[in-house]
Amino acid sequence: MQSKRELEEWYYPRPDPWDYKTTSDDIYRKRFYLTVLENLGPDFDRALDIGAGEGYITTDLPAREIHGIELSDWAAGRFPENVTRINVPLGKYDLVMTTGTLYKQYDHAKIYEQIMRCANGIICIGGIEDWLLPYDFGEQIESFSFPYREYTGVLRVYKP
Amino acid sequence: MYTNLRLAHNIGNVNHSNYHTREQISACNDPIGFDGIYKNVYDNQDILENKSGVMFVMGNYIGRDNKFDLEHVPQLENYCTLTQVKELCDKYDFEIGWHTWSHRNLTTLSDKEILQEVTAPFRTKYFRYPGGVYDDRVIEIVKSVGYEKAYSVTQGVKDMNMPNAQYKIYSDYVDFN
Repeated sequence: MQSKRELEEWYYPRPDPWDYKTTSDDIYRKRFYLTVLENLGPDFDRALDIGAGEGYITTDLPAREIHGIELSDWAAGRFPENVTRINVPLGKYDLVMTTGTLYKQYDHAKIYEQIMRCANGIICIGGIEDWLLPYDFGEQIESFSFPYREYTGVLRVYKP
Repeated sequence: MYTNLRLAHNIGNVNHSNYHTREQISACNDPIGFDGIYKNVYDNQDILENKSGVMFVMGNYIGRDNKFDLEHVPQLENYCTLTQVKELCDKYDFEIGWHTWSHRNLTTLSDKEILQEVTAPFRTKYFRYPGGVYDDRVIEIVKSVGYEKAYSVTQGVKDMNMPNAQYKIYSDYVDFN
């Protein structure tokens, strides 16, 4: 499992180490996620992004209050102003999102536990199809797949 | 299922093929496929009463404007938000369709780019080709995504017995009189 130190080594040298902001597939992915949410919402009260990175997706979640959980201090230090860093979920959220985190190299069991503890609306799970671990989030109400870099990206929406 | 869908874009008094007047839309007795969806369709929604058809949404322009297309159209217009399009579909006999994210000519794109463009962020059975342009490669990808019907305005067939006819349906414009 990737340690916090290894994660910090990714984020420390420069912002946006995976080039999300300049890679067309990630710009597409973000727009896809947000349009799905606009269709499902369009507006949420409290949103939580677990494994928020630098807040690339998080900042535009359609919610009145946006919280982000991020292990890396360097990444969380780059959160946009409208994203509040927290260490554990604070109460219930009507939108819980996590993208690219439920992989074997991350602490997926902890992330799953956090999601199930605080979700009180919809859960959105995004990531690379072949890498996502098969957790049970309840009733799946939507599922999308699209080309993403050299992989298939997915977004699955659940009601817990 | 909408094999005689007519095409319209804007509702307004502008002398251009992207515009129909309220009277022209009202006089159309066939199902109408609106592309956009332009805000002026929402603003003139009362004339959609007793009409049916499809609202073909372009993902990148939801809630934005048509600056990207100004070399082809006469004036700046705004598009509906997704909420407004859904409201139209809820209130009237219209279904939501997909018109790609960016309105690029699909025949010029890679397979991966086509698949991205035709993948809608909501469930729909209906697809409209940007500029009406398609080829066999584009059709195969559109089919693979699960659409039941795909429409053109510049090429295609009206005979539904032709091979792949449901993916190359020719749409006439709503009559201009």
